[in-house]
This record gives sequence, structure tokens and C-alpha cells, in this order.
Amino acid sequence: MEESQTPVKAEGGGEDKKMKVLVAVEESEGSLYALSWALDNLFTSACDVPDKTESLGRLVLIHAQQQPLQHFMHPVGPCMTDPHHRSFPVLFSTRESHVYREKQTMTKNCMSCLVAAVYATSSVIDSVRRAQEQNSRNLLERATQVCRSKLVEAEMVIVDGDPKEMICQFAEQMQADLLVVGSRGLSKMRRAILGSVSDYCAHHATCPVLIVKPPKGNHP
Amino acid sequence: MAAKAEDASTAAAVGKAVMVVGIDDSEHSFYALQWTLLHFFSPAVRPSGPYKLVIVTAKPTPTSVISVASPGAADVLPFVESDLRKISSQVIEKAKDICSAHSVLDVEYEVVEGDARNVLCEAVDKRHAEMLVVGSHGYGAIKRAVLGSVSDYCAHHAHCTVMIVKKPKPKH
Repeated sequence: MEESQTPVKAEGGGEDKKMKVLVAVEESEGSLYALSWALDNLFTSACDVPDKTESLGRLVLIHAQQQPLQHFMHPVGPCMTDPHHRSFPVLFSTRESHVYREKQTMTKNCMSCLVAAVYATSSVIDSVRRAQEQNSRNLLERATQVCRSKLVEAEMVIVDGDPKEMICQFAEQMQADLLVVGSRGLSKMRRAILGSVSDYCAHHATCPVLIVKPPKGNHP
Repeated sequence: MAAKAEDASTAAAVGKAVMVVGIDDSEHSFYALQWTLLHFFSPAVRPSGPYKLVIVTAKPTPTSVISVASPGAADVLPFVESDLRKISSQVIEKAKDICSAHSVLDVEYEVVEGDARNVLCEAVDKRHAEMLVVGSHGYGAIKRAVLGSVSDYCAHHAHCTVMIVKKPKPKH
């Protein structure tokens, strides 16, 4: 009988368990908790190996950056007339991605949406973008800290665009064996038992999805 | 009931987290079970695996299956009941086969009567499970609205981590 202490060196038995795990990281607390839960529970086979990932496959952290800029702000410049009818961007919280989707289609029907336009110089756009990148980098730093403290090496990916779709697409591209998401989004609505990104991923991802709920202490 | 409570506490005492796998008679469920066994109960961790596996299947009540109350309904009930019971035991038998094919022996099997959604969530609560695994039929939005989705309900309402395992669609 093999001891479970020895690291598995990609033999017949170990092969089965190698998983490519994709963990979606965003700024909510639930997300970092999901990461540490995944690390605790999916990478438990090797005990004192300096790098547990050897035995378990790859861990990839993905962070999707939203692009509020193109819908918020328009660069001030020669082409002020926007032929795509996007000159009535709507101001709303960037976090509510499902609302985001709706409002996009509503820009055609200007009567019913809030009308506000922010025209920004390119330098403002740049600084907003840089702040956003800084945020993402900090977040991923924290995530790597968590991984390192559990002796797991993780790869990091940042994608731009709508988080739900990007995460599912990426999972498909990298042929992930498992997608891990937290359960609550940033909306912090007490009655939101499942965030919009997690919900979307649960329905649309092609690979198995693991939804990590916050520990019972946090239930309102 | 007392026996079950004891089981749960001994499992906890041994330090094993409980993993509940919900199955029905669909291919997707068995795929989910196999996937779980492959990835969480593989030979590498088996001797001291971190999870205790509990397989739960829900048996619908006969009255929920027969929707129209008619004079003949009462006669049909016993047949429906025995049919449902047969299906459930077949499901458990198949689950047992799958588990022994993967050489996973320390498994509990349970058939609970009721609606699958509630059965699974209650099983999680009763056994203080750490994780619930369900398959998914992969219904689109319309079918889901009409037929309901157990995996969806569990993802929202279970009090533990939920894993939804999908059978990969064959690529064209």
C-alpha cells in the first residue's frame, strides 16, 4: 500500500487526479475565501512537499477587469458625433454586471435611461485605467500571498471585459477541469445568495463548477 | 435516526469532511459521480482520503408524479409507488457498482422520499456536509424555467460548497 505522504510522481494512479483548476478572483471577500477553501480542500494530498502543485496539476487564478470606460467616458476629440448611438452612456454602478448588460441594449432607446455623459481627456482615461490595473495587481498580489502561504504555486491571468463571459471563455480555452468561484458578488445584498458571475458560470461554463459559500458565521 | 446521527458524529470524530453526492437515474448524475470519484477519491489519497462519501437519491412521492386526481388514480398509486421504488433501488445499485469499480468502499447510500431539491439540501444540513456534488442536465434557459433545475436550486440554497459537474457536450 502506498503511503499518501510520498509525492505522486505522475504514475498511473497520480495521473487521474491531476486537475487544471481555474479560480476566479475578484474584489469580494467571498472570492478570496473561495481561493483559500480551494487550496485547503483540493490540494491536500501531499503533506510536506514544498510544492504541492506537483501532485495536483495546475492552479490558475483569473481576474477579469471590467471596462467601464468605454461606456462612461468618451474621449474629447475631433469625432464628437458618434455614429453608433453611443453618445448617451448610462451612469450606474460598474459592479452590477447583469444590470450592465441590460443598460447596454437600452442605449438605443434613450428615452428611458438616465442620460449623462462624461467627456474625458485622454489623460484622465489613462489614469483611470492605471488605477484599475493597480487595483487588479494588488488583488492578485493578495491572492498569491494566500497561495504561497499554503505552499501552492499559482499562475495568474488578467483578462479584460465582462467577467462572466471572460471567465467561462477562458475556462474553455484552457480546458480547465474545474472552475472555482465564490458565491457572493460585490453587491453585498443580503438576499443575493448567489452572485451574478457565479450564477452565470454555473449555467454556462462547460466544465464542472465549484461554488464556495462563505462560512456559516457570516450568514446574516 | 439515532444511527444516522452517530454516523455523522463518528465521521466528524475521525476528522473526515462529509461529501454528499446527489444522483438520479440520468446519465449526467452517474457521470458526475464518476468524475468525483476520479478526482477526489483517487488511489493517491484513498487510504486516508479527506472525505466521507454519502450518496443520496431522491425518490419522488407517487402523488407528485400523478398530477390529475381521478377515480382511477387510487388504483394506479401502488403500481407507481413500486415503480418508483424499483427505479431508486436500481439507481443505488448502479452507484454501488461505480463505487466498487473505483475501489471506493466506505460509502453510505441513502434513498429519501421527496422532492430532489429539498432532499439534497436537507441531507447537507443533517450531515453537516462540507460539499454537495450534483450533476447537471444542461438545460437551456427555457427548459430550466419549465422543468426546474435541481442543480440551480442547490447552488443557491445549499449551506455548503456546491460542485456542479457537467457532462461535456460532444464536439461537432
